[in-house]
Amino acid sequence: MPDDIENRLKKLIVERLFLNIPPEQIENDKSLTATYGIDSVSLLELVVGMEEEFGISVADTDFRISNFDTVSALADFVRKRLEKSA
Amino acid sequence: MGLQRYFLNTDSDFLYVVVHEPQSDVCGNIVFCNPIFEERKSSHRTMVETALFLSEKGYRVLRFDYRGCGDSSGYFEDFSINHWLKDIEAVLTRVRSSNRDVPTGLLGLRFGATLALQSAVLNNADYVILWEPVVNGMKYIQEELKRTQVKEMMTWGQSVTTRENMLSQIQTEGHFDLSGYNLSRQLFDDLCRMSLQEFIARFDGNLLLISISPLKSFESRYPELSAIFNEKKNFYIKECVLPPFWNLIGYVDCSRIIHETASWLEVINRKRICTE
Repeated sequence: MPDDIENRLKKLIVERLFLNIPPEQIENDKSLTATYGIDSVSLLELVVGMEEEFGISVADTDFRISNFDTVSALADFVRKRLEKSA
Repeated sequence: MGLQRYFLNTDSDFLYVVVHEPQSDVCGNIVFCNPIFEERKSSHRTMVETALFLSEKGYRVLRFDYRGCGDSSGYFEDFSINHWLKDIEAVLTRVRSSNRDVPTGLLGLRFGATLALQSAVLNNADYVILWEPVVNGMKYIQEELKRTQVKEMMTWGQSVTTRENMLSQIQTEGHFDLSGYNLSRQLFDDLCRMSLQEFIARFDGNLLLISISPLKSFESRYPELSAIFNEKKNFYIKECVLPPFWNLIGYVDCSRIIHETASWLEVINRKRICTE
């Protein structure tokens, strides 16, 4: 499934950050901070969760808002990391 | 319930200690071991609520600040793990001297849990309760560094702090500002060596580990520790699905972990009375 990573990310966001919305209601291109109220504390949880879920490592240079702003951005980032480690 | 506060002298410093005295007969003493860094502040309310609940159940609970933290004397950068182990020992000695007839144990959260376990081994505590302990000190520092990097990213669009910055500053200047805390080289080195596994096998008392995670079980996160829990009959793990309240600003209802802790204490207390 091409959007499998997106769906896994949405599930991760909802479960890990205890959001009170179903994962499918999170839109791929909506800002996670502006639309879903994710703050710096939640983002740290998300980073740790992504590392566990996908077995990737978020490097120092990866901490750019463009990598974390939306589900699509996160999915692109995860795909690149997975390709790199393959 | 009575509330007492005092300063306890240790070396040339003092510790700020709060004692929650039960109204009924004391059935046990519990010394709380706090986390450090930002986790200490975020978890304060939960630790107080836990102390109040357990003192209602008949436990004398002692909360205190390590040297260099909270209302105790000194600066954070001047202390490390050995100092804080001495602080715990001082509080344990004080509470044991006032009541030797009941068991004395420790309850710690995150870094405080790992420290509590070390202290329990060194001071022969009757029991120890570990709330989501830090299993690997090196990984813990890396997560704290990530906290700084996420904050920078949210402020400036990208992070400027790197692991290399941190390591080189620790090497050259002997300290590093980690999320507003002046991390000394000594504490950095001690944390890098810190391992729960080293101490868990050496503890012979009753042990409760409460794993607090939104998703994965403790066993799947730390398979290397599962074997030890399978071997030791007096070691227990409880899983609680809760947000990491030690990282959050808002209120998290932690009554489930507080009740789990109280129920386990009641069970081991009953067993003790039966064997006496």
